[in-house]
Amino acid sequence: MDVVDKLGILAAAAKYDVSCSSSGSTRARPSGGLGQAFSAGICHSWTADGRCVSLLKVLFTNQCIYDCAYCINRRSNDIPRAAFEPAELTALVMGLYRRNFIEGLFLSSAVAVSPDRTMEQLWQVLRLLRERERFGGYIHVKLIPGSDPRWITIIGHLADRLSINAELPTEAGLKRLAPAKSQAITLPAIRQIGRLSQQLQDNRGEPGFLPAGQSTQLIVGATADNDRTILLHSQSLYRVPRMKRVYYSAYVPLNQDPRLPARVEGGLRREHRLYQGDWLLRFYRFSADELLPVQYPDLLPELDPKTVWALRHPAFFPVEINRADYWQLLRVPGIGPTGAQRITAARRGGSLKAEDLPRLRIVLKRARYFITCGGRSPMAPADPAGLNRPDLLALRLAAEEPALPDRQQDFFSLYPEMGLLQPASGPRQASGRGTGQGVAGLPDPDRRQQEAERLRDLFA
Amino acid sequence: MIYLLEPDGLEALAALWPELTEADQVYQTRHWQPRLDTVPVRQAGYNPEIAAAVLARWQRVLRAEGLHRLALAAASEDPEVYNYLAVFIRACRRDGPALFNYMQRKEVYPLRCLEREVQREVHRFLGLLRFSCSKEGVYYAPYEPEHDISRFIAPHFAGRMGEARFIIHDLRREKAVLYEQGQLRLQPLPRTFSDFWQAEDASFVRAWQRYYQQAAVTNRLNPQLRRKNMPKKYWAYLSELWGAAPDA
Repeated sequence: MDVVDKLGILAAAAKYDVSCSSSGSTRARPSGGLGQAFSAGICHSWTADGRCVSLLKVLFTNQCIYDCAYCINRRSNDIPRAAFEPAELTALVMGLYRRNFIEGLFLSSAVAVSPDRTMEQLWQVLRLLRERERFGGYIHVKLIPGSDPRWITIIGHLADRLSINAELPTEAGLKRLAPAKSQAITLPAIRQIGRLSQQLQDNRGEPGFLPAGQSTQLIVGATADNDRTILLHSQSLYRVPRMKRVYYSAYVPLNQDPRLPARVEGGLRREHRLYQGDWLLRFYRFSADELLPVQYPDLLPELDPKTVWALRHPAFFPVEINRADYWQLLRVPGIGPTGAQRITAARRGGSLKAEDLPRLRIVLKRARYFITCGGRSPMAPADPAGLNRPDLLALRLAAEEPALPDRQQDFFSLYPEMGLLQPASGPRQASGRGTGQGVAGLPDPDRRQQEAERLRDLFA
Repeated sequence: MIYLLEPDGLEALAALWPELTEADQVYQTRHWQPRLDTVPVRQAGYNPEIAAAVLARWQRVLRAEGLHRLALAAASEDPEVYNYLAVFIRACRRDGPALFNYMQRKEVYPLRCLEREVQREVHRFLGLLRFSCSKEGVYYAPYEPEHDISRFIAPHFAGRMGEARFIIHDLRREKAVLYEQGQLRLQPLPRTFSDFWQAEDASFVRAWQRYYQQAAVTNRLNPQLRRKNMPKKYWAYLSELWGAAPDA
């Protein structure tokens, strides 16, 4: 089997890992070597599912001793199997990098013989790249669950990021779907990666140890866990030192297995809402309890979680644009981190008026219900009365929010206010509403009516 | 008076600056459309010493970062770019570099829009530029950016390519950045150069195409999202999309 055929098999086997980020690490080209790491990360292409290609994401091998229910590479599946030689994978990475096809390597593996044997093979690839080729590009390595903890130190000196997939938020879910994995294995490994990289940076000043920290991934929809359980789990993971990202992957049925749901309706829409919630935990100082209190354990498909929080906390609003601090501004639907920074910087040059806000790229269409500028509401005279009632406002906002189809969403515009590519004014892009789709992309008018009633009840 | 600039970039405006008044307008020669009014039109000269002195003065006020932002905006193809720059630079006399933050002001907003547009294209091409390698070991990347960004992307590749020689060729403007022995050089290069380029790396292109085909998850296909992030105008030079269906 030639290397291109192996690449085909091992890339197909790796594509269900969500992470492809190359950000968070800065490295100059090593002397006599090739490549550098760029802190903002660089996308080199986008695949037909709209996801960014930054790294060459492959498995070292898809030959596996485990039989996890949801995994395409499980032992009992009859699929083509392949394994790279360390030297051929190294040559491939160098050749693709020189042509600017990729920013680096994302290397994972199935467990061919044992976790430690697999880690040793990954280490050989890394040594060839970093020591023989003096490669300075980005490398992300997946830690094999159950491998010796000393691999963390060894790999951590060579890779930019090391990660281990938590997979499911509860032990019960793991027992059912991935009996070879357990939180007793994954969570200590996650904590140890965090502890070690923190210690090495603090005590020995080693910025070269896992400069891009760690990440993990949760599968959504394969078990009955609600959104509150998932976000609470993410919140606890973000407390681990140097945890940079928790990725969410809507469950895609790849295997026939009685333990698995056949098809999950609305899975990608739910994944998108979870990313929005996750964004609020990381950049907006929301807590999982604020977003999803016990009595409302699931995110709404019709409205983004920040808008839902705003509707449930009418006493917090309106926020005065010329006086509110950065963190207060961030709580306003339609204002994101960039918008809040722009507002706080721009008002040093004079008091802001409502008509100034579109120039600061604030999504006034949503923010106008929640702010005042110089004591005056920027709501249009044409806006109907009664929008100070959360139930009526919820209906209005749900109708105004772009339809969210159940398909791959854009990682770069999780919140409309963070969509830096949007024009400041002008006609809104076609969102599917003109095609007869309604709230949340539901074409059925009866269904739409039901959704409207549900929103009215929720915020009444 | 309407001044027409032949060379492009911030340097061209800097060279004209000492004689420019608030009533004057400035356009690039290639953007100029003759008008029926009676405003006199004059081709501006270019003196590199005056340009350097004026740029140094601007840098004292705006610092290196501010000057870089102006240079980014100046790379825009918007016909009004020099007039936006002139208005902004005059307003800077009072507010200094903080003026960049006051996007609500009419003398700032158009310039910031252009700066952002160019910066976006610069970042995009750090990823979308595709090199092919000749048998002599020279790497060549043809592309057709909307804006004149070669000088902004070239240092990034010089930083990562090590000893390798490379050419980044802007076919639209028929100029190229050449990198050899640690030196970057900007020079004219006719479009036809790309027709004679012979790459010797079909195996890597084949590997890349195979990887790209396999990397998409079939249950999540979203071609609109791909087009949004990677507009079709850039596809001609992306080897992974050679032979892609026209409606992809």
